[in-house]
Amino acid sequence: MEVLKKLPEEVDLLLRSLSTLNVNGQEYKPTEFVLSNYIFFMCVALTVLAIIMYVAVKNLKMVPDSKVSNAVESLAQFVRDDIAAGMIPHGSKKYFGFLATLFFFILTSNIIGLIPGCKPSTGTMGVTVALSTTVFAYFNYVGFKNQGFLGYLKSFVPHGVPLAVAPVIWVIEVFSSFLRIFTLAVRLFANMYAGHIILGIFAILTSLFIEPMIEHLSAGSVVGALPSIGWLALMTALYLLEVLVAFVQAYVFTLLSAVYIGAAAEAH
Amino acid sequence: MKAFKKSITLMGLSGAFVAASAVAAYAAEAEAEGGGGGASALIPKMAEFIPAVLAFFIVFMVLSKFAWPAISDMLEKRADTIRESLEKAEAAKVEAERLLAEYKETMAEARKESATILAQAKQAAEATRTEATAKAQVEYDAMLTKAREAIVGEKNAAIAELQASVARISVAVAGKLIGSELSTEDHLKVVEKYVSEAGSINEN
Repeated sequence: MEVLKKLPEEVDLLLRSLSTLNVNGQEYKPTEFVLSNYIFFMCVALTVLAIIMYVAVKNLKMVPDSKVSNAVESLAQFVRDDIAAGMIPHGSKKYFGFLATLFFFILTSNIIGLIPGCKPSTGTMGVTVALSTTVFAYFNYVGFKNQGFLGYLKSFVPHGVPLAVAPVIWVIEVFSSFLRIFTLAVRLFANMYAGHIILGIFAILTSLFIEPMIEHLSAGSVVGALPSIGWLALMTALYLLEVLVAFVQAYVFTLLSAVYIGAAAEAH
Repeated sequence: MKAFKKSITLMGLSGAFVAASAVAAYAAEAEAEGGGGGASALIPKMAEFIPAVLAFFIVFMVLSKFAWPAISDMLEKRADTIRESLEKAEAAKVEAERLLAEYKETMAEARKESATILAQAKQAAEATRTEATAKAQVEYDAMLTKAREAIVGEKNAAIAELQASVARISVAVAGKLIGSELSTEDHLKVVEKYVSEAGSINEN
């Protein structure tokens, strides 16, 4: 297939566009502290979030009549009842604000990233590690505050573990606790990044097959462009899947954070 | 206010940890940049990490102050209102059922009472009718008897008058026929005797 010869080149371009670049499209250098493309879209997402929240809070009513307010309330209630209260047995209300911020931050970023031409700020490790590090700091703070310094450190070893193996278990548990930063960050990043790569590849395939027809209209080029319909259909299906993934990943990240907070909040 | 102070403390602690993480990530990033390759995508960039942390904290602080308490309060207030409304509706339902039962009982009593009143009224009407019929019958009988008596009286009077007229005429006729006149009194005696005999014959 002649058209597929261009694919590797186009995929390289796609991967480059999905990597961290300066907002003006130039190569990012760690030594320079400039606005990156992902941070730009994070700012866009947060501006949208601020507007949504402003509208929602302004229209809060006993009998809601604003769709924005209704949607935000439903999602906040979902975070409060299904995530926070479900995972944190006692005093989950205290952690609702943190978990709700996390959920809405990730969800808005993911949704903004689905708009063609935009990027999800959660599609870069810089942002996801920032979120997971914050979660790590938060649940450890909760653990130290609720159980006391020594109490929380001791809680890493489950009850009933023989004293001889307790230090080893403790080290493993502390290490696995630190690993949560990485697992949380990578899960979110990989899902968003991979989703966009797949969407990008289908978009490239759609345009590669249709390109000859646009350049030179003939019976042969029209027949050659037919696979584009299939690629477009696949892309549309995946796009819908990505909308679901945007919600699911925000949910999973917040849910796991709630699990970690719940575990740290009480001695076990 | 207390929650706000807590958040500030949390920010301080988390900030320290995040700063330490940033240093570690920066070292890794520099190393990855040296090594290159696809794995560099997994190394957090400082130009993203720090703004993201700051942005998250700002969003957290702002939403914790202005959005979450308002939304949370509204959700609780609405839940309370719905609960109260349901309780009120339940109480109203119980009251309505009680009133319905009371109403049905009253209705049953009223029906019973009305049936009794109706029966009594029928009975009274029947008695009145019977009494009126009896009274009318008595009056009718009395009137009939009176009428009969009057007729008999009239008849007797008429007969008596007729008898007297016949006697007078007979005397006159007899006087003319025989030419000699009997005294009037004699004639009348004869005729009355004759007429009374004739009348007794008629009666027989």
